[in-house]
Amino acid sequence: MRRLKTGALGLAALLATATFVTAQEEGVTDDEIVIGNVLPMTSSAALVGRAAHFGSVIAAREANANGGVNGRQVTIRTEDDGYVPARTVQGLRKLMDEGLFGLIGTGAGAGTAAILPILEEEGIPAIVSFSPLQAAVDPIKPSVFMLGASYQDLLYAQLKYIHDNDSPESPKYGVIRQDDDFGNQVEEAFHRAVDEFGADTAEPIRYKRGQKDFGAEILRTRSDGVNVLVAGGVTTEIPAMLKEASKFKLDLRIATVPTSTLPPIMQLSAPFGYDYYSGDYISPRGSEGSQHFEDMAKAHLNEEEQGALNRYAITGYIATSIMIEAIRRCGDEPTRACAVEQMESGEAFDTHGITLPLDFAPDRHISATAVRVLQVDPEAGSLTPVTEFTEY
Amino acid sequence: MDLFLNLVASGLVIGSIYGIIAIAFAIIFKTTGVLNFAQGEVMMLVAYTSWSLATSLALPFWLLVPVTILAAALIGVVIEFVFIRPMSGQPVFSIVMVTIGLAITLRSLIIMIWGPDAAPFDASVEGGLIEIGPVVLFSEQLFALLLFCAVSAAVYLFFRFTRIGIAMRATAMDETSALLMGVDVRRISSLAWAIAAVVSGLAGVAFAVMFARAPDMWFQGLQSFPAAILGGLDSPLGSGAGGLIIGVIAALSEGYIGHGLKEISGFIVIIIVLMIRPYGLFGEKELERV
Repeated sequence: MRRLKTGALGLAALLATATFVTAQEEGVTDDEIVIGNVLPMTSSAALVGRAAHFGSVIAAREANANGGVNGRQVTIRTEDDGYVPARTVQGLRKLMDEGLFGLIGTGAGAGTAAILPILEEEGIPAIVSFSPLQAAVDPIKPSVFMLGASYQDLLYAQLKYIHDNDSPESPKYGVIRQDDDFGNQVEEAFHRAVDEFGADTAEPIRYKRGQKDFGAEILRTRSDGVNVLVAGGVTTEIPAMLKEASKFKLDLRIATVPTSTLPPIMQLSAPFGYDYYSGDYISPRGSEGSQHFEDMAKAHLNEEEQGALNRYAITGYIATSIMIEAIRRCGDEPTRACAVEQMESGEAFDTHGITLPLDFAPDRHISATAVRVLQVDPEAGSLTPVTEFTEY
Repeated sequence: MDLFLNLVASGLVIGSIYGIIAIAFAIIFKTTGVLNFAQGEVMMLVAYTSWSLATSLALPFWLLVPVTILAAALIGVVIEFVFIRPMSGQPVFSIVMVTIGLAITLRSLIIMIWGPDAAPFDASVEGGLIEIGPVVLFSEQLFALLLFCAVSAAVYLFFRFTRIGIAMRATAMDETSALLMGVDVRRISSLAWAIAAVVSGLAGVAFAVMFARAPDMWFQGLQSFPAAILGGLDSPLGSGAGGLIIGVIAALSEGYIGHGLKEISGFIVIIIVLMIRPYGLFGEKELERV
């Protein structure tokens, strides 16, 4: 009888444990919460992927240094997708197998698009911030949020500024863009602007991802008489275009995506004598607004890691901080559903001055969409805001 | 006419890079029967090494080139010794798979050593802009064209007139007979890899000087492979010419037609050429006695 009683107690204890284990949310243990990234840590986009990863790391270490999230330490796990959409899916699957609560890095645009169905199906809270993609939040996906203006807005803002304030005589607009989803967004921004302005345009020029030689593209631009150019390169394509343009001393107003403000890209662009425009929804590094981020970076990263930082680290930092705060607001038993509920509650998230306080709503899963146009002088290494943050 | 000439010049410049890398593909294939899918990565490794030499030792360009040649040869020999020689006697397919693995390894290794950031290649070729009639070129673009001519001439003279070059051709034609004639076949394989590393490495330096040294340079290897197919994989000079043809056709297609034809125009030409000459424009038809 006694043996039976002991056995029953043991079974009850085992069941209780099993029930407790199954009740706990994916990626959460008694002392840890796992937030993941799938980012290009290698390939031509590693420059931005690594920075975004370290932005997440800073946010996690900052939280952990302050006692963690309701007693749990935040762990950042990052998978490399090599800038290949299929590998973004693989990376997410691996993170899910290992236990994942929420996701910050969602790969580049095509990678994000590829994993959206999985995020929806699994109800994984995700904040798209690495490569804004309109489809991530329009229509709304219950667990997916996005920070930052889309490429459409970022480029439209610049073209509008050029049109209103810096238009050449007899303006003719042209675009050189990559032949993928990123390039589609670039071209959409171009069409939105030129249709609104009723501007004279040249036919858009598409190039293959990985291409570095833009001799023929720039010759066509010259032949078409373009003097306002959207240089839709991702990283080193931008200086490659500027170099060819400088060969023929083309007088151009140039709009670019935010990667053009990264120090290596500015360094590569410097010899060719062009200032260009860029746009952003965050305060640039070195400005007053990014001071807290800079302090945290110094406190939580070693020198080599700090060397990998750029604006993408700031966006990674903001997104991860928001996710951590949403989890914190859920209390001792965080669940994915609760984190989503907290994010869309309308209560603002403080970004320490990097942006205005950010919030989401059930019918608006996007925030930080106001854009400021920057004038970039690559030779001086300077970024000068020429507009205030404005919604476009 | 101005547009046409500049498009041709632009095509010849990038075609020179494709052509030189294609020559490297052909040298290894002709000598060992192996398609080296890591050629672009070897090119990138040499370019990065050269960049380090240029920046750390502040070598002038005229000195950097011979030092790079030595470094590239060493890289080629080491890769052959470590990765290829142990595969001796194995099916060619297995060796090709090793080169694919090598490619991925080298890409990661380069990022581990030099990091993911692109950087300018400071050892610039002096001269600035050069105007030849209506054609405008940067001096480094002219350097790429001259490099193509120099490499093509050197490869031709080497295979045609030197004892080792003739031994390499003999090995390519019949390895067993060459072995019986006293040719050190292992040494020939090692030499082929060294020459290919030097040739493609110089293309890598020219490319990095023109654009930047960046971890996606290996992609040029992939871009160059069709040139080798077009020219004939067993014909180093033909492969080089294939690079020029693809470069010029791509530039003219983009300049006059657009609509993404730049990328496919070369392949359209390849399909047509291979339908007429399956062994490439300058390749040799393989004859078998039965």
